[in-house]
Amino acid sequence: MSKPLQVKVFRFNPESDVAPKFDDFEVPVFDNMAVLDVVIHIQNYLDRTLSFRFSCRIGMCGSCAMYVNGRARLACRTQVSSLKTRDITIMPLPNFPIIRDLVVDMEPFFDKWKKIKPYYVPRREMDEPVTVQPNSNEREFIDDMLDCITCGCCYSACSMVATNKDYLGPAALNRAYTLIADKRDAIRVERLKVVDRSYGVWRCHTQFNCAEVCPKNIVPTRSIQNLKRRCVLKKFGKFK
Amino acid sequence: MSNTHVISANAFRTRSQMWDATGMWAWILHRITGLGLVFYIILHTILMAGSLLSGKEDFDSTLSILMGHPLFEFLDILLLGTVFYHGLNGIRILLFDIGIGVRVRTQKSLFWIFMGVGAILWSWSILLKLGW
Amino acid sequence: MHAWTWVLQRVSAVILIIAVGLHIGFLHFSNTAEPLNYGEIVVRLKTPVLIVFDILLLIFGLYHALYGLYSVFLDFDSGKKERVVVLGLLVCVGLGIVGFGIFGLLSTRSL
Repeated sequence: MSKPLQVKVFRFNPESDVAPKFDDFEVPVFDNMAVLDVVIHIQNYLDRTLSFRFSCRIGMCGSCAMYVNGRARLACRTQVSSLKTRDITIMPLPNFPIIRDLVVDMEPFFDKWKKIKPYYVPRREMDEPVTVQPNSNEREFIDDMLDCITCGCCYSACSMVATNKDYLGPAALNRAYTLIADKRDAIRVERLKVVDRSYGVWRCHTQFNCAEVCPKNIVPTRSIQNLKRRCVLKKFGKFK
Repeated sequence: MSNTHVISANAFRTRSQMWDATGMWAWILHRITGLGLVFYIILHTILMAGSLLSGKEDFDSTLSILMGHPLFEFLDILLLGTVFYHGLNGIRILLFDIGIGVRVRTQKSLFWIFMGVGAILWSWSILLKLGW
Repeated sequence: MHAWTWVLQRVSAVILIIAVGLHIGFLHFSNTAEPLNYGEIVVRLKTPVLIVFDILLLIFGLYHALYGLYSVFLDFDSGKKERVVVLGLLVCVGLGIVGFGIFGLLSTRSL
């Protein structure tokens, strides 16, 4: 891969532009180059006004999520070679309001995140330090779903988020599952009530887009299916 | 956030979606076939009930057109394809609802397996219909 | 409400897989060379099991269809009032068509 990359980047500065446009850049390739390196190169040497977010550059902070060649990905974790083409198109994450260029407004995402109270609330009457063994069945598959870095990839891939502005989205619902399924949590029932709404779990139609794009291999679909079952069981008087 | 940022945050949203996701296409087709079947079931019910209420002669003449005319034979084949798709993908969804196959790769395999079954069923029913 | 209607959608789906299969197999694919005629229908619907089967097929089929439509509607942005109106419309259409269908089926039986 010695030939340079042909990169199209979405540009929009609401303070000066009427409409968005694409800028073309030619970017030289080096070994193990990631998409993050591409935008950093553009910003350093070709156009200092290009705006984008990044921080840890090792897939932990979730800041650099972008829509690259048709899919939401973490720029720092996407090797240019994995795209298998020299033509790269970079856009901001879909389903989010755009602040500028590749920077999106994460507020709607976090508003929905907060709605499900995304933090463990301990029950008061606990004498023992550990009431659920980490490897017991009671943990279900919670531990597989805890690594969320709130990057927004799943939210941007979901077509129900695209069509319904109230839908809580895969990230919030997945986090809700990890807490509702946790026997130690004090407000599990309250949380279930929040997700048992038409803009909660019932909007999910098991398309799996979220699971396909998650950089942490979380499967929100699985969490949401489990929550649907819990909502039904609750109607029959059984809350597990 | 300053005022300019609040204004610009709502200025534009791209609605680009993910077009290479099997699960999403499965759902899109499920919805299209579903809408087609809703239209069909309403039409079919009203037509059949109406024909039954109109009495023997009207019913018999309506049915002879519906079950004889080649156009309706063709539409019937399309209907069968629609029913098979919606039913088989529906079974796939039922599996997800009881917790089976809710994994990224499994759901895709399930889709193609059911499509294979559907292709066989549809071909068989077309052959039956054409009198083979 | 949503949990119940969702479960009922799944229940009706399972019933329809069997019932539609039987219905298409026995009626749309008739064994004779000639099309179905009124007389055959009258004879068929004299059997209580068969007319009950047809009525249940109608009810579950329309429930599944109209709940599906409502689901499509909910997937898009809507206000509380719009949701109530659409739900009301769908219920009325459903009851109307089911009623008409049952009326048509029963008309073949001399009372």
